[in-house]
This record gives sequence, structure tokens and C-alpha cells, in this order.
Amino acid sequence: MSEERILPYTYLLLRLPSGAPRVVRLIPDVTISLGKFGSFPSNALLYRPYNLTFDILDSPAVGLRLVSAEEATRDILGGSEDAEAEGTGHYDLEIAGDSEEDGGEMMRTNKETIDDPLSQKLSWVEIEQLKKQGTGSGRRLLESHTAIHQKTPFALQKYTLRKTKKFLRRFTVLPLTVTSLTTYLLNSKEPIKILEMRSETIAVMLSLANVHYGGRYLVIDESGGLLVSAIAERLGLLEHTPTDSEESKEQDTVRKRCPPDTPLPTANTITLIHPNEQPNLSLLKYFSYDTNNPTASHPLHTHLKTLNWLQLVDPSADSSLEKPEEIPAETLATLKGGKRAAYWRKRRRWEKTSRTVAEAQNGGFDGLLIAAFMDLKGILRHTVPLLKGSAQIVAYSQNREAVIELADCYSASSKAEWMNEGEGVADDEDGVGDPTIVLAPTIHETRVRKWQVLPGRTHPAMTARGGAEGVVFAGTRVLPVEGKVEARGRFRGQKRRQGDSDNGKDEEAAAGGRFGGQKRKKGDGDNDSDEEAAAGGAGGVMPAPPLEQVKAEV
Amino acid sequence: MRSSLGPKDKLTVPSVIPTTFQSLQQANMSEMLETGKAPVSKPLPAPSAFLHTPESIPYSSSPSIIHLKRDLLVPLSFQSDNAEPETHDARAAAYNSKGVLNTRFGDFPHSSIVGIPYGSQVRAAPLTNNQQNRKRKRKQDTGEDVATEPTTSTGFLHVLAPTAELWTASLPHRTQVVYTPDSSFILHKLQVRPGSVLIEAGAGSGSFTHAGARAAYSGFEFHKERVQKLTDEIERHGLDGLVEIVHRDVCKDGFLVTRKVGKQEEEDTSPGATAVFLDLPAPWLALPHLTRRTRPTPSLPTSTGLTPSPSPGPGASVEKIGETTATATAVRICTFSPCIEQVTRTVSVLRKLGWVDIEMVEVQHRRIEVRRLNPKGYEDGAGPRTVGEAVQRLKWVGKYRDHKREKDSADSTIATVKQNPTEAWKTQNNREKKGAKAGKIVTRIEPEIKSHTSYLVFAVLPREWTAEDEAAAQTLVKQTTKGVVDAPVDGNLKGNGKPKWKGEREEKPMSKRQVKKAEREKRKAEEKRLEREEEMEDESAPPANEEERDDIPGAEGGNGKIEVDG
Repeated sequence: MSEERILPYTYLLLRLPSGAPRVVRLIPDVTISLGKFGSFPSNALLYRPYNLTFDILDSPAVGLRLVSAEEATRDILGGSEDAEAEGTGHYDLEIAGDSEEDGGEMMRTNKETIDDPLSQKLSWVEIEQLKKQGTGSGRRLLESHTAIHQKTPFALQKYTLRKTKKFLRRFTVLPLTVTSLTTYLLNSKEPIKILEMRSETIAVMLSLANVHYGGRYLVIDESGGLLVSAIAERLGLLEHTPTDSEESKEQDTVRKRCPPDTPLPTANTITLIHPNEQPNLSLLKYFSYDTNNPTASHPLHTHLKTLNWLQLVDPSADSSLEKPEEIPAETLATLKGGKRAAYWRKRRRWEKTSRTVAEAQNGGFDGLLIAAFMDLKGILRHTVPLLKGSAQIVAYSQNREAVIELADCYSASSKAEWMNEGEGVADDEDGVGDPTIVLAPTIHETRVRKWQVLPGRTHPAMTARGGAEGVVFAGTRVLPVEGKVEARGRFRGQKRRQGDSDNGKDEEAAAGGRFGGQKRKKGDGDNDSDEEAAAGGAGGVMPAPPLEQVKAEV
Repeated sequence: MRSSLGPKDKLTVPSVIPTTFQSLQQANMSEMLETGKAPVSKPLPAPSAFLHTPESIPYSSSPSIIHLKRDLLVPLSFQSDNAEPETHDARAAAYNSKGVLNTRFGDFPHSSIVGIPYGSQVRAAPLTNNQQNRKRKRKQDTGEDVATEPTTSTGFLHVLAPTAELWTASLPHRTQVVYTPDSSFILHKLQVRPGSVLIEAGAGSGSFTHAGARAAYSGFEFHKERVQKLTDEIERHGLDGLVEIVHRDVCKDGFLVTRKVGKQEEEDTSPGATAVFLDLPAPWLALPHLTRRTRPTPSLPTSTGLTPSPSPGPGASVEKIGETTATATAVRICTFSPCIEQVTRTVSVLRKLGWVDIEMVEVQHRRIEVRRLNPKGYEDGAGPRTVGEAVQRLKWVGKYRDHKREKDSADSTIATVKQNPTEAWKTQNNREKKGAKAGKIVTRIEPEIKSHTSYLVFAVLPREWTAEDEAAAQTLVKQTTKGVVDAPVDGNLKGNGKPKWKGEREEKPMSKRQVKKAEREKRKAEEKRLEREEEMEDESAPPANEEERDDIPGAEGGNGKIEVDG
């Protein structure tokens, strides 16, 4: 398990007392500097477990000191757990007067607390000096604060905590997982590059898309590889123990010798469609996979297949899919080593690409996951037909509007229009193509709310990240039957008025006997329209095509 | 199909079968139901439709999900015609009789469904003679015309492959269900991945079990009346190779799994879990059982600073989560409790037991419905759509009233027959064509949202780290690196030979210009000082003046001294 120990050349996430995360690559024999918190030799972390907390030792000592969990917890809480339990006196009532008649009960408040800069007796210079001394300065600060007794116990704790956090030279080593990477990128880096995808959104996508070991997934990922890494984690493809250089070299030579038609895995794979010539999967470097210079032993090397849109949509126009000239074996033997290697390399690349493209075009994928800036409708138009029946479709967009528009394309009325008017209607470049192959489109919005849990002070976090809401579209690929189908059944609004019923029959005739029941319902007013008008395609109910209705009336 | 995955994949499906336990309310259960039928050596589980979609819908005990309409899903397994249909619950049974699925969208013989690919739309079977006769009879009774009965029309449904989500959505709600937004987040946060061993205590309806088994590809779960049901279910769904169900009061008896070791000998072994999910009323009672090592005496760990391992639970029940696998990894936990009081207690116990990174969150999830808004106007018998329409109609009403009055006074026979305003509106504003793209797109939240499911408490129990481990790590570091750990080392590291890890900040080299500037300023300051000294020597100025002068260079120097004083 990768979590076991910190291995050389892995990426770590260091969480500083201030809460700021720092991503560090652990290279042996170097110094890791944490700015004002100090620095330490990287070897002090090597082969140690994750999730531990360390203090950076002050000079003259060097290195790190392991902080026990109790100590770390106590410092986070600003007091020990036992003190915590007693600390609930905050809400206790104090008797202000001697008798109840006088003053009754009063709560301890902060009305006496006056914000006065003079209450801190240390001067600016002295504080600076303290800071340089490092640890323990927080305590000194507290001691010299004259108004400290005026603070309520909770306020005091908060104050202590704030001051300690500022000066504590402590950090926690966390494994860089998909979850922690997401949080890190979202809060500290450029969130727009990962489409402001939150962990909970990614989690919901993985579940809705039914991602599991053994499946074949079609992925469109413009978040720099974040979605791909999340899927890879679920497929068990992300864990990789970096081998030392000798081993990888050996494997390289083995790979070269093996025949070019090595079968690539046909299950448990990710097929990525990317808009540029090369995929942007830069975030995979945090999981020790570099797309430009892939490690052959990494599971992603064989299980991640990439092709671009041109290769999928119009393969004949792509020059990289042209078969390289074949050189007969005899001439090949006469070539120089370099040329021969180049020939084989070129040939292998072509074989790999063409096989990936052929596989993609054959379809039969178990799921489709999308996180893209591009227009979702166009993506679905080209990719949904490649899915197996009952495969799940999941698409993420930063903005609600894009997803809503997409869901509208699969609305019941769109489907009806498509079926009645024939393929021509919705078949424009911007559309989704055949809307009847996606069942029950739904839109999900999910958000996690953090809470502070302290004895007597449990409440939701006061602030949270705003920005893009992040919406997920989910649907199921289905195989519609040939020919026409009719919605039939007992509907709630079946009692119809006399006039409408005649009308309905006429319509039925006009519409070729289709959608009879539904139409009558429409005529009835909005009794039931809620039922099937919701985001579209209710399974058994095909609503009246309004055009038909109008025609019938005419 | 499954076997084709096997050899080429890097992944080895875990050979250790995870356990699922649960219990709680039944404090009195001394009996332990263990369905550890799973042979540990089985390399790959039998393909389950939940994990591998078959090419076509089979006759099997594993259910398919019948999608009747949005949010109306029925789990149903297809048996060959003569077999007694197996019903999972009353709801499905109501749909199912004698190999025919009866819905309000028509009747669907199982034989018409089996054998086609998953995801297919299925037409209802044409009415049988019997049914037609029955219907005809009824119609005749009510006096309706028999001939209008459309015999060719059929309804339809979709048959979907089962997934954990569809299964949860189609579940008859036996207990509180862990819904997809929660379960997905929990699994993601617990970092459950193929090979993980997940303990679920309080499996309830099994919705989380399915999702968990899918993610871990190995699994676990359990409630007294329910344990049998769940066991059946897991077996039917082909997940029994992945999920081990144990019936147990974990708060009292802990998590050890009784497993046959060797010949007949039973031994309590640790499941070696890497992730734990507790859906119990009192998770804090179960927490003390989740420890790493057997400790004969419940003494607190020595304060060497190297053993952040938890103290064992109270009493004699001392067990370990994983002596073999999990001691080497961190264990992640999630507890699922609806009440805030449960949370505070759980968190407090977690803190005492040495768990770190404790955080509590709740997941809020909403589904959005999309529709086209076509506001109704006068022609639909509703009100005006715009102010303009209202005004126009009011004008017409006025005119019509005038016209009517004239008509009355003139005693009829006037050529111009004026329409009444509503009819006039209808003729003038003949409803425009309404295609699929007509109207504004509007959204609204689903009619009922789950505004609170439960609070999720997450925590991590770091790997145990003893002094021996530390020593071993140090030797390993010495062997594999240049050994720069504790001692300040010569300077091949970075240039000038100074030890870098003391927190010393390297002075930035100044540019030439900066150096010159500094020199210049120094020179000037020196000159000024000299001047002032001379002045002071010359005229013995009053003390007040002296102070003033002293301030001047300070101000020029532009410095913090003044700030401090202020």
C-alpha cells in the first residue's frame, strides 16, 4: 500500500499549523524549507509513515520531533480534552446579585471586554524578538496580555489557539491523494484549471457513473487529469511503487524486445478523448506518472488510452493514423541501428494509436465521464452512441446553465419531436443527436458543509468556498426499440371532460394512434403535467408532441 | 468474462475476505451468524451483474432494474417460466405473477425480456384474448363502444443493469438508507479502492454495502431480522465472494472475525481493515474495539513521543484491527450519525483514542428539475402574460360593452357582429406553434429534498510507529541516501557548505547597484553625523533643540522606531 511509508520521490502534502497546505516532492538529501516555519532535512521524513505530526526543532538541534497524537490534539483544541469537558462553564449562569430579586441570573458576556491596544504590554520590538526565538513565544505573549482575564473562557481559548498557530513550528505529513490534491488545488492553486471541481462532486460522479474495477470507461477530462486520476484510483490504477532506475531500465528493454502486437488490456481501462494533439494530464505527475515520459511499470501506462477528437470523429483525416511504410525484413536488416529503432518505434506508435481508435469506435464502453469546458451537447452527440446499453453517463459543468441546456435536449418534448419529425429535426451540429438514447436525465448539485466540533461550541463553519456551483448531469444510455412506441397506462388525470375526449380521439387518429392517452391528458390542463414534464424523458410516458396537436386542431 | 480481466491486470483482487458486521440494538444476541462461506483462496469472485454487466439479460437470481418511469424503479429477477418467481419484496411481487410483469404500462412476459441486452426498451405484449375479453366485458357493462379499444397499442419500459445507485433508488425503504451523495463521499474520503478492506457496522438495508463492495472489490456488513435477508440478498447478487456478513454486537464484542484456521481450529483474527464505516446509534461504544495491538494491561502508551497508538478499550475486550496488514497502514473511519449529540460524543472519544485529522461534515444534495415554461394566456383561459395584453384586453372589454349597449338600445339586427373579447383574443392570437424549443427553460428543485441525512465524522488513525520502527527507518535512510539526517553535513547539498536545515535563511546576494546605493547612504549618514557633532561642539544648543535634531536623522532613515513609539 502506498500509504505505508513515505518513499523517495513521492509527492507529499504538508499541512502547516496555519492550515495552509504545501505540496512537496520528497527528494532525498535536500532541505525542505517551510518559510517562516523553518526548514528540515528531507531525509528526516523518508520511510516514515504518513499522517504523523512533527515539530521542527530549533537550532542547535536539527531535524524533527514526532508529536504524539494527544499532544497534537491538545494543541489544536487549545487545551486538553479534560479541560475541555470542564470548559463548558461558559454557558453556566452566574448569580449577579445576592438574591434572585436583585439581579437574577446573568450570562457571562463580553461586554466588559474593551479592545485596547495598550493591553498588550510587550512592545513591537520585543514581539519581533520573541518571534525569532520561535516556539513558546505564544505563551509569553499571553502572559503579558493584561486584559486576558477579561476574556470569556472560550474567547481565551480561541485567542491562545490563534497565537499558538501563528508561532508553532509544526506540520503534519499527509499522503497526496485525489481528495487532498483536489482540496489543495481548489484552495491554494488555480481552481479554474480543475474546473472548480470539489471532492464531493467528483465522488458523486464516480458513484453515478458506476465506476468499478474491471470496467471500460470513456472519459473527457479538461481538468488536467484530475478526473482521470480519480477514476484511476477507483480502478486501482493509481498506486505505483516507484522502482529504482535499474529495475525500470530492465523493464524497458523487455518491452522493446517484446513483439509489437502485445495485447493491451481490454478491461479496467480508461479511454481519454482530448482536444489537442497531446492530452493534458499534468496532474498525474503527482501520482508519479508523467505522460511525456511515462514509466513503463506504472499501471496507467497500459490502462490509460488516449485519442483526440479528430481521430474519433474523422479518422481518415488524421495523418498519424496513416500506416507507415512497411520495410521488408531483408532491407530492415541492412539498415543502421538508429534507423531500425526509429522504424520500429514509429510502427509501434501507429499500431497502438490505430488500435486505440478502433477500440473506441467499436464502442461498448461501460460508462462515460465528462468534465469539460467544451459544449456538452456536442460531446454527448459523439460519445453516447459508443456506450453499452444501460451504461451511465455523467457530465460535469461549472455552470448550471450548460447542464440545464443539456437536460432540456433530452426532455420529453424533444424526444417526441425527434420521433415524429424524423431525424432531421434535432440533427444540427449543436444538438445532441438522437435524444431517445438517453433515459432519465437528472441534474445533481452536491455540497459538503464543514462543522466545527468542540464541546459546547459545535456549529457549521462560518465561511466556505464560493465560486462555481458545480453541477452534474447524469443519464442512462438505452437502446430504443425499432418503430413506434406508445405510452399507455392508467394515469391520474384520466377523468376527462366531454369535449376533450372527442377532441382527443380525433387527435389520436391524426397522430397515427400514438400518444393518445398522453395527449388527452395534456388537453385536460396541468393536472398531471408535473409528472412527466420534469427534466424530460419519463420512462413510460411519452408526452404529446405539441406540433401534432396543433395540426390536429387545424 | 471475468477471467479475461485476470492475468493482465496489475491488480490482484484481495484474497482476504473482508468482514461486515453490525449490530447494536440487539445487545442480547449471543448467537453469532456468520456467513463466511467465502473460501479465502478464491482468486476472483463469481461475476456479479452489479460488477459486470452481462451481454444479455440472463435468467438469474440477480435482479435487473425495471425502469417504469422517472423515480419508479422495480428490482426484478427473471426466472425461467416454470420456476416460481422469486420476489425480493412485496412491491416487486405486486408486479410479478407467473412469469409476467404486470405494470400500468402493459404486461411484459419475462421471456420477452430475457436474452436482450441491458438497457433495452421493451414493448408490452399485445393483450391476450383473455384480457381482451375481460376488458370487453367490462366495457360492455359500462356501455362503451368495444370497437374503439386499440388492440395494437403497447406501452413500454426499460430494463437496466443493476448498479448500487439504481438498487438504492429501487429499494423498498426498510431502514434509513445511506443515499448516493453520502455514500459516494464517504467512499471517496475513506479512499476505498480495489483491495481495501472495509468494515461496515450497521449495514441496515445494504445500500452502502453494494456501493462499498463495488469500490473495494472486496467487502463486508448486518441487524437481527435483517441479517438473513441481507445474506440472501448478497448471495443472490453474486457479491458473496466479496462480502462477508457477520452478525454481532460490535459495541460489546468488537470486530474480530472468527475464522477457521487450519483444521477445525477457530481463531479470532483481525479483519485487517483499512477503512471503517460505522452506522450505529452509539459509535463511541464500538470505537475502543478498533485498536491496533493487543495490550495486556490497559495502560496508556508511554510518553516516548513515538507511540501515538491508541489506548485499548476498557475491559477485557482487547483486539486489533489488523495485526498483519493494517498495522502498516493508516486506518480511516467514518461514522454516520443523525444527531449532533452523537457527533460530539464520538469526536471526543476519537480524540481520546488517538485518532487525528478529525473533521465533521454534512452533505447537502439537491436534484434540479428542468422544464420549459410556456405561460398560459387568455386563450388558455388564464390571465394575461404581460401588461400589454392586460391593457389591450381591457380596451376590448370597454369596446365590447359599448357595442353591447348599442345593440341593446338599437334592438338588434346590426350587421357588425362583434365578438366577445375572449373569443376575439383567441382568433387574433392563434396559439403559435410550440416546438420542443419553445418557452423559457426554467429550473426548480425536486419536490422533496433531503435537507438532513446525517453528520459524517471522518478521522484517521495513523500507522503505529514505535521506537524500533524509527530505528529501522533510520538505518534504511542511511543505507539508501547520503545519510543527511541529523548531523549538519558538508556542503555538497547546496553550494557554500553551510548546513541548510537549521532554519537559517540564506542572505540574498545584493546586486551591484544595491551595494553602491548602500555605500552611498552610509557615506551620507556619516557625513551628517559628523556635521551635527561639529555643530554641537560649536554652539552649545539647548536640550530641547538637541532632541529635535536627534529626531531628524531618524526620520530620514525612515524607520520603525517611530512606529513603535506611536
